[in-house]
Order: sequence, then structure tokens, then C-alpha cells
Amino acid sequence: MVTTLKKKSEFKEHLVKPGECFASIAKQYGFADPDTLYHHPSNAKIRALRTNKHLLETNDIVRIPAVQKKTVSLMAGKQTVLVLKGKVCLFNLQIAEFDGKPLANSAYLLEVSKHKYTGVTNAIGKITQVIDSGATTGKLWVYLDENKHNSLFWTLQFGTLTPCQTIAGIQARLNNLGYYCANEKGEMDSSTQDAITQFKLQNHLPANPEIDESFLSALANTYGL
Amino acid sequence: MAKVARSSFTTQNINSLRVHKLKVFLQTVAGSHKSELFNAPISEDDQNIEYAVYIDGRFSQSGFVQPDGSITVYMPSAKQVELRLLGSQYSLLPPINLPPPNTEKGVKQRLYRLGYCGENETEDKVKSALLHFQLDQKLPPNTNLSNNATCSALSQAALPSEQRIVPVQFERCSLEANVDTFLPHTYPPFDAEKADFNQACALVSMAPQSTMQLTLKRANIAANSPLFLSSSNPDLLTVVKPDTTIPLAEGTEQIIEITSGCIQETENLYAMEMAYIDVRYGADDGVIIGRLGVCLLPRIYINVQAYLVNIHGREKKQSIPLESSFPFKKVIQNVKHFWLQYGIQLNVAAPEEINLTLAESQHMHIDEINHVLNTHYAENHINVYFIPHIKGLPETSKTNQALAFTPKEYQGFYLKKDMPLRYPALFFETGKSHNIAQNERLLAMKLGHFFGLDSVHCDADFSPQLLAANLMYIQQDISQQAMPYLTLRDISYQDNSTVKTLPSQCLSVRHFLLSKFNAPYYQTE
Repeated sequence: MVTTLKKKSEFKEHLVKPGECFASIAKQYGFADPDTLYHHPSNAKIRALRTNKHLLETNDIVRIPAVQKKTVSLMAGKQTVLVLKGKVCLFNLQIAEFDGKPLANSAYLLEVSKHKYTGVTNAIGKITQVIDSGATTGKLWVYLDENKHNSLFWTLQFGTLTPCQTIAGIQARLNNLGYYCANEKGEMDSSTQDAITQFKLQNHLPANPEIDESFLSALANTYGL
Repeated sequence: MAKVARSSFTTQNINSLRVHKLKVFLQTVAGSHKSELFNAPISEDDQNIEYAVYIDGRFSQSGFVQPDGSITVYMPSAKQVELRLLGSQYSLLPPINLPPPNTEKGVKQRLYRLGYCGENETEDKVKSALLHFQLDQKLPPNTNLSNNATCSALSQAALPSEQRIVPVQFERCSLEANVDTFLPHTYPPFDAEKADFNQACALVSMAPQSTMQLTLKRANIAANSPLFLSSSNPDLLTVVKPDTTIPLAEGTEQIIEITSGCIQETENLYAMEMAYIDVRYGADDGVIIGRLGVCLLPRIYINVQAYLVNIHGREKKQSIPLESSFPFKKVIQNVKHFWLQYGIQLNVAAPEEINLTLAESQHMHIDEINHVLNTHYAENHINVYFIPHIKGLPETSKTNQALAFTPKEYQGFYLKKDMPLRYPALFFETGKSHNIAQNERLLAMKLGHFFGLDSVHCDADFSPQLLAANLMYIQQDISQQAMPYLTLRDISYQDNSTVKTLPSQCLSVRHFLLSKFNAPYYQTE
């Protein structure tokens, strides 16, 4: 039996929606590897703009090239295993106290796309989990005691974190880091200014609400991306 | 909702979620837990108090309050965190973004975190809380928010990572029906002895066998929570109202009345006894969630010898003897009552009559005054001389009528059975002639001089309240010499010179009499 994938000569343009990144878009269009899309010459422009393929902004344009045809010869009557070469989607998270002290060795439960993943945070409070790249939300419980009576809970929105250079990206990172921004919609308000000032104070930067390179660099380093 | 990024093996994105660790202290008194003074945990007597934490309405944590009164709460940011205990709900503040301490917002938030006031209090309440904080920190009262010493103390005491819950608070109150109509006072919420004696509770002072009204405020606990009152020592202190066998009535405020018993009196003027009114949760032997310290000061006995000086030779006619024209008994009775409130009992002997014939009908010379002093003077007594109205008193006086001399300085001051009063000279109220009450006030005030208290001559008013307030001042020159002891100006509750403090002055009197004058005109019995 011979399977022939239909070749398309033109590429499509995909308008990025909230929660999407190259991993989810690749899955949506049948690409096993998001890098195939990200590094495709047609996406040179977006690649130059978004250096991290998992951090896109709403209304970014991703070009979807034609799916490449691959012909595989199979012998009739024999069982053949076809391995789809691709990249898995990961979710990395570090849980820590406000001052950076990790919540190490804490049991957790991560629920994504009806899958329940349990484990224990490592010595630096980190969780690494392979997840469905198309999943948009998840639930996370981190237990504070051995008998799992007390816990902290988060609803996670995968792919919604925008680049650090955006106001919304700054707000989301600051909130996740324990500062308080009243909105994460990219609207600069007094709470965001306070949070920026507080973050700068905490990181030994001049205490002001200005978004400068040193602040963005410190925020990205502290947050992790 | 936490916005996070996906990752891959080629792009190692790591998201961070950080949680705040907030330490909540359940305390019987506002203030910083780190100080021994304020180390007043509610659960110290091994009574388990259960708590639960809800984050965005979802159960998160529960446990029992630690022996040090603390609860550790983990808080993700940007979420509503609610602590439930004692049948009440408390919203917890994220431990960040404290505004600068020299701003109104910064002061408010810090006072709230320390348990001195509620989260959204009126300006007056915040000022009162600030003054209480200053009292606890032994700082001069000053409601100016840019006060550096206060800002610094606030910053040190109120840490963002700590929050205090003080369920109930006491304040002294004066019921209209019980106000002393003779000399009503404006009472402070509680007394400055708190700062002096390192009491981990609000404190009021009482004379033995006296009554006091207080307001119990459910500052940070549900209005319907079952609260009971009890006395730590029923022999010394009794709750008269309300009934202690049943829960307090629901509501944010409750008037309570306490009475003090007898205490062992010694020659040690500093000897005092402490008793506590406890507020218990759930049952009459339940956990103590609030406490008022009551300092019972021994009574001071002071002997007073009064003289009724009949002046002869004036205006060529016999004056009416003071014994019949002056309501001595009534005046003395009220003056005694006034000072008894402060634990000073005046033992007033029956008045002696003096007949004085002036050399000149129109003048009274200073040597004639001295003659009275030299011939009629009781040791270890306050000697008070009442004279009738005469014209031509020595130039120094300007006033007339009844006359008294302080043995301390041999300066005369003048009372009269009917107004006008010219001392203080500004309160010349011709419309109030025969005003016995003013005589009483003046005499009461003048007696305060003997106790080391000075009056502040204020040209604005001479209301009874002001008089009482004025009495609370210690003479400035004396206070400097007799250090260290409390100056009431220091422990007053207001910025300006209107003092609202009260029984602390008893303590000052004790200090004063003992340290400065070796008490020549008082003795204990």
C-alpha cells in the first residue's frame, strides 16, 4: 500500500489567537515538529520578531507551508511500524516562595486534557511534564503537606504568556512572580507601575516604574523566559 | 488563571509561580509580635483554635493556631485569600506593595497590619490608632504623618510578611448618666501605664472600690460570635454589667461596667495590683481572645486643714462670718469627690475659725497674711484658708475673697465664695456670681498644685473639661528636676495642649510626692 500526501504549492497565513504558539499551531496543521514551521523560510519575519517560538502575540502572522509529501513503501501482509518523527511539547514550571526559596519535594497533581500527572517537585521546585501541545488549559495542585490535605491551586493557561517586551507579558510575569497587577490585558495602570517599582526594588534596580532594558532583562531572568 | 508558556527540548522555557508566605498572628493586643511586650498569643493556654484558608473561595489550607499564636498561610498572588477562624472571616493582604510609611495610605496599611485599626477606618480612628501605636512605642504623640520617628518605627514594626488579627479591643467610655457632673472628663481610650508597665494588653487604672465603664469593641471578629467576660481575680475586679454567665449580646460594641475591690494598702506608693478582664470565645472557660489590664492603684491619703478667716475692721462694719456665709461642707465634699476619682483621698479636718483684724480697713498687708500663716499652720497638712471678700488685697493678688496658701511656695491664691474669679485672671465671669461650682473647681485645681500638678492658663475657655485637663499637667520646671517620672504631656493623646489622659496622673503624683518633696503634707494610713 502506498500513501501519498497531497502537495500544496502555496502557503497559508495563520493569524495567531490567544493561547497559540508554534507548538499548538504545528499540531493544528499536521506538523509533527514545530521547528519545521518556525524555521521555515516563509516565517523568517516572525522568527526575527519572536525569538522564542512559544511566545507569540495575538494577531502575529505565521505562515503555514505546504505539507511535504513523503512516500513510504510497505510490504503487504507484513506488520510495519511507522514512527512519526516529531518533538514533544513540554511544560516546565518552578514553584517557589516569593523570595525564591523553592518549594522542593512537594507532591503535585497536574491535570491537562483529562490526563492526570502526579509527581514531586525536584530540589529546585521544578516540574517538567510532557503535555499535549494542543491543550490550552490545565489545573495544578501543589500539596503543602504529606497527607495532601493542604494545597495550592492554579488554573494554567498554556501559550497565553506573551513576550516579555509587551505590557501584557510584563503583567503576567509579575503576577506569577507574586507581585500584583490588577490586569493582564496590557493596559498600564497604577498597580502595574507599583508592581514594576516593587520588582525593581527587590532586584536592586532604581525604584521607578519605567520599563527599561535592565528591568526587562531582570524580569526575564527571574521568571525564566 | 496563570498565563504560562509551553516549552520543548530545544527551547527550555521555565515558568515561575511564586507564593507568598504570610505569617498571621492572632493576638490579644495590637502591636509587633517580635517585641516581648506584644507577645500575647491567643492560644498560649493550649487551647486549640482551628483555622481554614480559602483562596478564591476554594479550600486551600487548614490547621491549628500555633502556640505562639501564629498561622502560616501560603498565598498565590492576585487572589482573594480568606482566613476563617473563631467563626469569623478575615481577608488577608498580599505581603507586598506597602506604600511609603510617610503617606496616609502607608500609615493606614501598617496600622492595620499591626492590628491597631480596621482596614478602612475613618480619619479619626486612624489618628487614634496612630497615637496608640506611639504610646506603645514610647514616642511623643504626633499625628503628623511625616513624623520621622513614627514612620521609622512603623516601618520596623509592620513587616509586609506579617499580619496581625486582634479580635476585640477595649476603650474607656463615659456614659452620660455616669459622668461626673461636677467635673466631667474626656477619658482616653486607655491609659499610658501600658507603656510604663509593659503590659501586653490595653490598660486602665482604677482607684480601689470604684466603678468604671468601658466599651468592648468587636474590632475584628463577627458581631454574633459567642463571647464571654470573666475576671482574673474576682476579689479585685468584678464585671457588674453585663451578666457574665451568658454570652455578650450581639453587636459591634458592648458597654461593660467593672468595679474594683479593696487592695492591700502599704506605705509603698508604687504598690499596685493587677487584674484582668478576659474576653473568652465560645464558653465562659473558652480561649481568651482579648484582655484588658486593670491597674489598681493604692489610695493616697492627704490631710487637709481648712481655716475660715473672718476679717474684721473692714468698712467699719462686722462682716458675716464665713461659717454661715460660705457653703464649706458642700464645696469640700465635691472637691473630695473629685480627687477620690484619682485615688487621692482628702482627709479634711473640721475647719478652724480665725478672726483677723486688719490694721487698715481698706488694705490687707502681706505681713497680716503671714501672721495668719505663722499662727495657724498644721504640719503634714495642706492648709487652706478661706477668707471673705475684702477690698485692697496685696497688689500681687488682684483677686479677692477666699484665700489659700500653698505651703510649698508660700504663695497665696485666692478663692471666694462668690465669683468673680480673677485667677486665672482671664476667667472673670461677672455673670456667674455665687457660682459655688466654680469655687469647687478652682479649689480642686489648686489642690492639684500640691500634688505637683500645674494648671495651664488658657485664655480660650474655663470649662470643667479644660480644668480637668489642665490639672493633668505637671509643672515644667519641676518635671525637669524630678526625672525620671512621667510627664503627662508626654503621654497625652493629642498633638496640642489639650490633654486627654487620666489616671496616670495618680502615678505621677506618687512619683512626685515621693521623689521630690518627700511628702511633707501627705501620709499614708
